[in-house]
Amino acid sequence: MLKQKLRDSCLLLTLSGVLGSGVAYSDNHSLNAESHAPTTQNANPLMDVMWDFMREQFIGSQPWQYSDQVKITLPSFAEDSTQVPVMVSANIPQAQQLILFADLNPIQKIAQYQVQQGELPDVALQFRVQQATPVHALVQDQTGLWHVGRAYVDAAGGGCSAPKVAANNEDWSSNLGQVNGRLFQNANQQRLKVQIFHPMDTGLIDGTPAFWLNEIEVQNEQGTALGLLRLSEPVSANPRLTLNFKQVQNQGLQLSMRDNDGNHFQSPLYQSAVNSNALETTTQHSKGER
Amino acid sequence: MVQITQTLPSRVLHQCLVSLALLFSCSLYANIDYPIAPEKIAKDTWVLWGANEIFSAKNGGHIANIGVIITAEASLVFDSGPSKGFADALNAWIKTQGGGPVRYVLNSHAHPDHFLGNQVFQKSALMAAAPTRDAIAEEGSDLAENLYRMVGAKMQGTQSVTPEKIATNQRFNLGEHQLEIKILNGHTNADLVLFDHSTGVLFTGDLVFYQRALTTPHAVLKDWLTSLDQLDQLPYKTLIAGHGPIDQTRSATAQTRQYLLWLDKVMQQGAEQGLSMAEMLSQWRKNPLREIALSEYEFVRSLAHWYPAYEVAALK
Repeated sequence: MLKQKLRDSCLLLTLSGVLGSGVAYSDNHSLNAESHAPTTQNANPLMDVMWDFMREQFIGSQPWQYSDQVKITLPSFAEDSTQVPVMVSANIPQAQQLILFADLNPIQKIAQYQVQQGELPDVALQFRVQQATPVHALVQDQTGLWHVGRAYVDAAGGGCSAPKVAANNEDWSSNLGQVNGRLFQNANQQRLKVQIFHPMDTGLIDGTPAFWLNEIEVQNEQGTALGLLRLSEPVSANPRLTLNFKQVQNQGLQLSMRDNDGNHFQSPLYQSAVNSNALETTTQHSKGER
Repeated sequence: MVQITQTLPSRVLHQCLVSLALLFSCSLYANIDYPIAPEKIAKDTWVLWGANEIFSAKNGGHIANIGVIITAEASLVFDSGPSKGFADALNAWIKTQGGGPVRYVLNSHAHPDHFLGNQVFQKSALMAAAPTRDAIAEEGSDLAENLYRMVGAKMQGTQSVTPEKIATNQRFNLGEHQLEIKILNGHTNADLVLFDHSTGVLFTGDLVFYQRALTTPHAVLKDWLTSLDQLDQLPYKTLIAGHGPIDQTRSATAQTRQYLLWLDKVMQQGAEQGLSMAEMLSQWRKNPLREIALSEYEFVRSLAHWYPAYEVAALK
């Protein structure tokens, strides 16, 4: 039923995609979208035919406004439609949550981040696109108002439904949920970058059921939840995620993850290089106590 | 369509329609013109300069440099271009020069701007390194399809044709020209270069880009650097890069090497700082060679090709 609905909307969308294609590359346009302040003026009604409909799906009739404080960094074209890089950074005080979606994908939602304690981090990841599409980032502040950023990516398409090499590779099951990560301490910012081995199957390929990492709880070193990152099927296989915190400093971070099959994965606790020595002492100490 | 009953007037109408259709298709065909402008760069040696641009309807896909050596005995084509239309024009021009038949058509590597004119020439003349032949056999049609998407009508009638003859490191004569083929790699898994010992002209294919940013979808950094060193060993006087203007000062390989080393450095530094792929998009501005053609566009592409491996390495 839902799939049928999606398919119907896809058909509708193909039309607008045809109208919109041809935005490939021109010297006059900056290739990455960060300089394009998403204001009402440049939200293109021809490209954004699905905006009203999609917005209602995600935020119903809640109040919203375009805002250049929600910055989406995105290439203007997808060199690899299975790996389109995107970063959302919002300069919205006391932001509560973020919703990121690609209007013309068969599965539109890409990710959602709900703040549980502290701040909304910058979120970066790679996702798949089925065709050229607008991308919207919605950030809700404390009053309930949604601040909307917008960008556009051109693509030859097929990223969601093209069988990927990894699907033919039997090795994925032995690496499933394995995490490589590192905490980077840059000037007054702390960022966690991880790669998680997971096939992230969209379910749009015949014979391959949807199988993806859908919930990532971001915890501090005490195990207190800072936020919940929900990923959707379009996130690229073996996701590489970046979470950049501007207020959390000198604090270890860890991830507790779950996929739609109920598998649970726990990342190690990541410490910044500055702090790791101190921690090792503590760890040894606690071992001694035991 | 209209149902045609076999009465005389309708048969006449039918014939009219057919001839009209023929006329129309001919005029369509005639519209596909590639204004080629071969430039003589050495004795018997010509270059058709590709536009320093990405594929577009306007340039008809002719973005790579195409080399031609014409002697009374036989002629040689270094890379056959992006389409049937282009190669038709090239072939017609060669015939007007009164040289011998095209006996060699070399494909430097398996990228679509270099081999999709193959179908115009004798199949027995087509030559490429074994990995290039295999790649054309496997991916040629997909590459052609993608070029149809980007170039449009000027691709009309183009089909991928796989070369029959395997090129290896070898020397041979064409008229008075002593030619040498070398199979290197790095831009792709096989990159054929042609050196003319008689004129000192070196056709490098895409192992060298000059005043134009590199494309890297199948590139391997270390191999590419090694191949550039090998090119530097050759006593060439004139270098014709795969893309970009003539080099008579032996500076093009150095520029390609500089660009490659910069790509490696900027990606390594970015990964070590924990930059996401999206944040890396703006880093092309730091390239000392940022003023050359397509430096932003190709950097965005190279990021997709290479950066994930740097990121993963920095997390281990």
